[in-house]
Amino acid sequence: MKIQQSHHSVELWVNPISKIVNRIASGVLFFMMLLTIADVFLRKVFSSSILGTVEVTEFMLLILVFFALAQTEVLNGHVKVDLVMGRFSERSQAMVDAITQLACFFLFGLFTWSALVYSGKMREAVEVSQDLWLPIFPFVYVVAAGCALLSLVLLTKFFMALVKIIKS
Amino acid sequence: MSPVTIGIIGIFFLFVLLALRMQIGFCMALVGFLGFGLLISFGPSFSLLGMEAYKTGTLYSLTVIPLFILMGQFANYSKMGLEIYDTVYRWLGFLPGGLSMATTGACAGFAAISGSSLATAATMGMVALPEMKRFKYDDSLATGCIAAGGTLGILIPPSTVLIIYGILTEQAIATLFIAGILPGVLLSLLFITTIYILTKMKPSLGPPGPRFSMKERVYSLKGTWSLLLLFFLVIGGLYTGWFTPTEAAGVGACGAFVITIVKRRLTWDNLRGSLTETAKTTAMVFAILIGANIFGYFLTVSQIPDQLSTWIAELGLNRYIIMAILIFVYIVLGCFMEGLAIMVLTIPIVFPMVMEMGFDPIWFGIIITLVMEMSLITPPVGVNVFIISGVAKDVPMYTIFRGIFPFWVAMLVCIILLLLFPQIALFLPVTMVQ
Repeated sequence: MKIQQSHHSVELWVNPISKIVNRIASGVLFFMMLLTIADVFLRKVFSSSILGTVEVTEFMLLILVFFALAQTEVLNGHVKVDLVMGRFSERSQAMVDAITQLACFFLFGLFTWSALVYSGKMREAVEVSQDLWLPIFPFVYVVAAGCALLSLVLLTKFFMALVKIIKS
Repeated sequence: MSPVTIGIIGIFFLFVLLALRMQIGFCMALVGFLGFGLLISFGPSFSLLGMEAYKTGTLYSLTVIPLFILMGQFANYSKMGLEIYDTVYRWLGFLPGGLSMATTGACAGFAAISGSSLATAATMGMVALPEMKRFKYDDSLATGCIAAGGTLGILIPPSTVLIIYGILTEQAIATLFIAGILPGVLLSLLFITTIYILTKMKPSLGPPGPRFSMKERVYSLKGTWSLLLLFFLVIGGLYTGWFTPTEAAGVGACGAFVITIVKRRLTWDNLRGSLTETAKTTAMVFAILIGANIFGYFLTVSQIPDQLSTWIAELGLNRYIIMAILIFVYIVLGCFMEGLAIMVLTIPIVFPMVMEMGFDPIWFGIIITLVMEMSLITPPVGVNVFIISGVAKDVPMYTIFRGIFPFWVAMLVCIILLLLFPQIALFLPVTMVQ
C-alpha cells in the first residue's frame, strides 16, 4: 500500500511538471523556426543578419531537448528493443523493469549532479557566449533541470513496476 | 584485464541491457560511463556526463533534426501526402497493379518532404489501403507495397537517418542528402517493376483501377505544387549551395507551415500536435546521440575499433567480400533490432574499418541507409509492418510479411547495383556547387 501511495504522490506532481516544461519546449521550437527563417531572409535579401543567431539557436535547441526529455519518457517515447522480454510473464517483466528503471534513475541523478558541477565551473570561469556575451552557466542548469525531472519520471516507472509485482 | 577485453565485456553488457528492454540511449550512456571509468578513472567519467549532455544539446549542426522533423509534421497535417497520392493515382491507377504502383510513387513523393519512414508508411497506409481494398487488391500486395514504399522516407532526402549518419561520421549532411536522390529513384522504380512482374504473373493480385481522361490527369497536377515547391526550395537550395543544412531545414519547416495556412488546414490542435510530436522525437533522438557519444568515448579508449581494423586488414581478404559479409551481418541484425539503434551502436566500430578498406564514406552512408530500410520490414521486428498492421487491423501480420518479401528482394538488388556502380550514389554529389 505504501509503495502505491508513494507512486501516486510522486506521479501527482512529476507528470504535470513534465507536461508544462514540454509545452515550453514546443514553444521554443516554434520560435527557433521563426528565428532561422528571419535570419535567412535578412541575409539573402538585405545581406545583413541578426547578431547572435547561431548561439541563440543553440540555446533554444538545448531548452527544446532537455525540456522535452521527461515528457518523452512519460509517453514511453524513448526507444527500447522489445525482443525477448515480451515472452516472459508479467511478473518477471515487472521485476526486470524495476531493476533497469532504478538503474536509469540513478544514472540521470548522476547526469544532474555532473551538470551542476559543470555549471559551477562555467560560473567560476565566467564563461560567456561568443557574440552576445550571455553567461553560459544558466544554460547548463537547463541540462541539470531536464535530467533531474527525467530521473523523477524514471522513479515513477520504478514504483509502477513495484506495484505491478505486488499486484501479480 | 586489457582495454580490449573490458571493451568486449562492455559491448556484451550493453546487449544484455538492451535485451532487458532498457532505453537504448540510456544503456549506452550507462555502459559508456562505467567502461570509461574503469579504463581511465571515474572522475573524468563523471565529468563527461554533464559536459557531453550540454555539448550535444548545443551543437548548431544538430538543429537540422528538429527543423526537418517539424517540416514533415506540417506536411503531414497539410495533407500533402493525400494530394500526391491522388495525382499519381489518376496517372497510374488504370494499369494492372496500378494502385500499388501509385502508392509507391506517392510514398517516394511524400518521402521528398518527410525524413521519416514511419510517417510515410502511416500516411500512405491511411490513404491508399482503403482504395486498394475497394478494387479488391490482394491483402499481401496492398500492405506489402505500403510497408516497403514507406521505407523510402529515409533514403530520399530529407532523411533523419542520413543526418545522424552524417553527425556520427562527420560527413556533410548536404552531400549525403544529394547522394540519396538517385538511389531513391532507382529503388522506387525497382519497387514498381516488382509490382509489374507480380501482377503480370498473377493478375488477380492487383486488378486495374479506373481510367481517367487526359484532362482530368493534367488537372490533378495542380495538387502537387506545394510538394514540388518545398522539395525544390529545400533540396535545390542545398544542391546549389544556396542554403546550409540548418537554413534549408528552417526554410522547409517554415514553408510547410505557410502551406498549411494557405491550404486552410492549420488549426490550433494541428499546430500543437506538430510541435509536441517534434519535441518528443527530438528528445528521443538526442537521448540516443548523447548516449552514443559517451559510449563512443569508452569504445575509443578500449581500442576496439583500431584493433578490429588492423585485424581485418591482416586477414588480407578482398574488400568486397568483407563488405558483403558486413551487409549480411547488418541484414541479420536488422531482423532483431531497430535501424537507428543498429546504426549508433555499430558505426563507431565499423566506420573506421570501412574507411581503412578505401570505400567512399558518402556511398557507405547510402548503403547503410538501404540496410536500415530493410530492417524496418524484416520479421520478427519490422517497425513499418507494425504501423501497417495498426492501420489494416483485419490483415494478419504473416500476410504482410509475405507481401513484403518481393520488395525485400528488390532492395537487395538495389544494394547489389550500388556495389557494382557506386556512381549511382556519387554522381550527383560531384556535380554539386560547393
